[in-house]
Amino acid sequence: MAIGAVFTAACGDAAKQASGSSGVLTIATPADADALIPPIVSSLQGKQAVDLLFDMLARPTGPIETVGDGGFAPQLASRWNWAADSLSIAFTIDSAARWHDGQPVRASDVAFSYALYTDSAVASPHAGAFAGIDSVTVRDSSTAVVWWNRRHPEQFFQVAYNLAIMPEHLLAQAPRTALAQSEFARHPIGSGRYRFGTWSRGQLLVFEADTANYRGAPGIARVIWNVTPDATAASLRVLAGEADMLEAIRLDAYEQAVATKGLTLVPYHTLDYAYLAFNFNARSAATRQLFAAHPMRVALSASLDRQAMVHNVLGELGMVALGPFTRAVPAADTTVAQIAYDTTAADRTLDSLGWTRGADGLRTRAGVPLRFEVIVPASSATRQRMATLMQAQYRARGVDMRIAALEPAQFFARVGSGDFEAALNMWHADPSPMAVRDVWGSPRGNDVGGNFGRYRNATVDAAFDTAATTFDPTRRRALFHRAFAEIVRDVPAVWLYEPRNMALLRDRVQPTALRADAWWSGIPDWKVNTGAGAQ
Amino acid sequence: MIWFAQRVARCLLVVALATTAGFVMLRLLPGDPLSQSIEQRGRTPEARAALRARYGLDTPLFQQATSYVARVVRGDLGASLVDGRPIAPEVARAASLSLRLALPALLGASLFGLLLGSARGWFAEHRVVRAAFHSVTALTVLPEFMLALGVLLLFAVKSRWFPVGGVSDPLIAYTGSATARLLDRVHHMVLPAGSLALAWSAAVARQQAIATQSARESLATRAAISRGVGPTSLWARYGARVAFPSSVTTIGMMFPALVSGTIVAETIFSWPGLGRLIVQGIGTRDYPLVVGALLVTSTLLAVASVGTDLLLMWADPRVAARAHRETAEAST
Amino acid sequence: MRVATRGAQPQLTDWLVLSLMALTVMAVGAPWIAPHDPASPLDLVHQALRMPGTGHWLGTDGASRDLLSRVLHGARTSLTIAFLGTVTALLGGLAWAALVQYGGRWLASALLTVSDALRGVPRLLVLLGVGAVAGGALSPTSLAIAMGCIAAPLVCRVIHAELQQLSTRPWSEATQALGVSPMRAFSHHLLPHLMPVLLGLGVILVGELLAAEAALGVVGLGVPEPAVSWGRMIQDAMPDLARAWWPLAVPCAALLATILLTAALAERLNTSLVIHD
Repeated sequence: MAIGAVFTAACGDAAKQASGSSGVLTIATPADADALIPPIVSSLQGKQAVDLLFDMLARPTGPIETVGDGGFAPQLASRWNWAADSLSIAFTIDSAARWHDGQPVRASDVAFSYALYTDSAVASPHAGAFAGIDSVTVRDSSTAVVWWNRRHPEQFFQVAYNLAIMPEHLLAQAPRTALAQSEFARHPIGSGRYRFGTWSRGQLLVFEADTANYRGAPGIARVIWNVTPDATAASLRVLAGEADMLEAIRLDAYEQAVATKGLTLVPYHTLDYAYLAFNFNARSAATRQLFAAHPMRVALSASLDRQAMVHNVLGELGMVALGPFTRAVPAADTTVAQIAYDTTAADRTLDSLGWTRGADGLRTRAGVPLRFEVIVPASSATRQRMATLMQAQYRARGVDMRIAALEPAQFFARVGSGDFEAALNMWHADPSPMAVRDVWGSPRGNDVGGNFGRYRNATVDAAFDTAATTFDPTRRRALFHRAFAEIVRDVPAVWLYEPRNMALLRDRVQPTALRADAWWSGIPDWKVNTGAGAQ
Repeated sequence: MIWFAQRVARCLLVVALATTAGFVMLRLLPGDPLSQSIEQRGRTPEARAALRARYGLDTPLFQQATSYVARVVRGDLGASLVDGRPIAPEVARAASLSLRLALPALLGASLFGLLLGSARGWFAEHRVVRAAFHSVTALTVLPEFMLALGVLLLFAVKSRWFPVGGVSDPLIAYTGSATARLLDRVHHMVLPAGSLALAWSAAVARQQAIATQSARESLATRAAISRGVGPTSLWARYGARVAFPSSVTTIGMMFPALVSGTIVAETIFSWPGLGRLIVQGIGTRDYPLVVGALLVTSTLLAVASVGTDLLLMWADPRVAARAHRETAEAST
Repeated sequence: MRVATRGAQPQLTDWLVLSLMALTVMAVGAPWIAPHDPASPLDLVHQALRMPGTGHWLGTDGASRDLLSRVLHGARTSLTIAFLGTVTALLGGLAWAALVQYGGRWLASALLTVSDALRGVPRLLVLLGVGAVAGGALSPTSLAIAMGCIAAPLVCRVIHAELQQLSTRPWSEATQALGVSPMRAFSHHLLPHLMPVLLGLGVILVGELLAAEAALGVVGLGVPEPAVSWGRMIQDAMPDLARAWWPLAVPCAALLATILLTAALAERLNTSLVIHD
């Protein structure tokens, strides 16, 4: 006990010293960042880090409006001008903008960054976001021009939301095929309101306020990402006062967090939704035949009490998904007609389709059992619990649903290659409603995008195709709503839930609104009350 | 010395075999390092093909294995397939963290286990000793995670004597003086190492208890008692000392498992060691990362087995004699 | 045997064997004893996470399933996995050791090297490999065999050491001198002497494999639904850990009791073998 006391005292002193002049925000995060150079980042934590370090040309002001530039405010570009033919936008770089090493940000950095993202040697996972952009040129040292080869409503969003600007003078020499091994990867220099501090792999990632930043000094002097892989340990860290924030609390710790003084829960929407995807191109002919019938899909959806399932598995932390979108997307249609939970209707449909119950209560037709297998990633406790509840409800309808919980890598491999009958998948939606086409529009050639079940519907495709060239926001929204309604009616999947995340924060932290696509985006404007002390 | 050379040669073979077996098994598992998450699906088909070619994933398995071995022999562990970082420093860092946990845990487990086991074997009728022995045994058959979580709740959350996890306090690690950093690291080490030591001491204790008990009943002990040897000296020379060699093997076998098999403790205490690195590498199908880590763990395994043999020779002269005899036979 | 010379202990051994048998009876009789279907939620919302009480003696879990029924059915699966795995490990280890013993010096050295090397391969990898071969998820049978295979090299080591000791006995040399074939010498002379060791090893292995199966649940690799095992129950309890203790406590208590039982039995059998890896 004595030793413990001495240690605690020592730690307390050190903490006070460091936080005496400035505030510190410690965030418990489940995983480490994978890289700190924007084009090669693919993990969520890496994205959070580079968003603090690097600037985009413009930033979204509220809920993401992807059409035109109305929803954006200047960031690295102080202003922009559309060409008369709308095929190019000239961005003027803020003359005050400086890299963290003191060099001014130039237009050539924009062209360089675009080249880096789209170089196949870099093999960026984000390269696909720039489809349709022809080139980026430098008009003068402070003006970069982005050129498109066709007009579409989301041109501005495409470049402003996806292109992080990196310093050419530091990265030009780095080998494109091994960016992650370059000096820059160990000590990245950006123009964001936070500078890179230090990075201990698997432990912590520290950012320091860039007090001389052209957009003003951030509110908090130091932001620390503290890697805590175990969810229980992570909430314990916040409860014990070692961390100030947890981005999403788990249901089991929810009540305790509500009851604990000095903690606040801040709800925010997400862009994730989970669904049971039917594979229309399954290996087994019987399964293909099963899912091909629309009444069968409706019956399978009507057999599930989604509201009760979500309540059981997620409680306050989830909502029933309404369709192939989340409520946070501006184009969301929260009134879209749902397939109601109706067990008698489901039974009637199954009977009328010729599936009769046997002695064990399970249905067969001409000797073929009414059976399909659902694959679930073993890493997701939520989806496994969901699968268990679904299995029981299907059994009550005489449907034999089998569960195969797969290791995540095998789950991804089988979903990606179409080697499944049904999958409990989770999709991270893009803020742009056009991206729904990648998941629920007909596959184009070999590229299935996120349409792992190979779903095809001409009405949906037509609506998306028209929306792609519709600039009028109201008409465009109507088209999306038409597509969503058709998808929900056609039941290519059972829409299960979308998480309603709750960030767990200590009271001394004063956050701004948490954005659905990036809760961390406002961190430079957050404040911590340093008077309360770190402990 | 011939014996030693033979041992070392066999160790090298074991390391090579274990690593190769690990690589082949991992490579044959379904899964793809280049499409682990939805984000990575944004790669254009050309970019994917380029990456495949760069990492040699498009060549036959045998060719991949041979070119990889050639690189490893040259001392190049390659770069991660998932994030492109060089692997050698990654593995080295994880290994040093694992050792920092494993060595104190091993020491603690050995000391505690030997003491408890000897006492249990020698004073089998003593109630307190028996109760202590059984409670430790019971504690250690608890699933590892429960012990770790329990320790965490008790000593970090309820009493706040120790930090909830991690290797060091971010602020101290970043801004503290050298002494403060060292103290802080030790402070962070106590709970994970302690819970591991507790978990592993039962195995040693059980082994030592059985051996001590049979030593107590041996003719040598009875003869010593009849000679009037004092109880303390009797316990030390005829009990603990005689039983020690059999526990050496147990302890020696524990070491590699402690280094590579502490994934649960590493996760709960947020300790980024080798166990977590390997599991993470297997999960993301990061072939070179896993092989690099396996190289380290199987080397430790081999070193530990040689070390155990040497320790055993020192602790039990009969073993040394046998080894020499066998070497002599083999060389004739 | 030493056990027989002590007055009180045979009685204790009897008790141990008796409780182990009772456990087996409960496991075998689970379908008739259990009050509810172990895999079916009683209700979607209202019966979730009920405290142990009169309605449900051991409470319900997060998916509204009766924990008493689950722990009984779980015993069935877990014990099957442990026993099947033990048999696999013993047979594999025995065959391996026999090959080492009679296969000649080169084969012996090669086999021992391989068995050492196999210990260096992460267990997770072996389990995933077996799972992938079995078509994704690890069914109880494939799980048992995989765990048996993982334990086999260790069993081989122990048996090998024992065989070496036995082969120096006078009667062993006599069988050699008499020209008894190695097969016959092994099955008629060595095997009977190995029996106590095998029995002791078996008891220890059952305990170890029970713990290993539970550990798999912790890592999220428990047997697939609707099968129930204690490891699976632990896995299902983990997401509710901070708000409900009983879904975790029930399987852990069952596990603890059984492992202690096997440990005590092993001690009675006086086996000086410690297995862990």
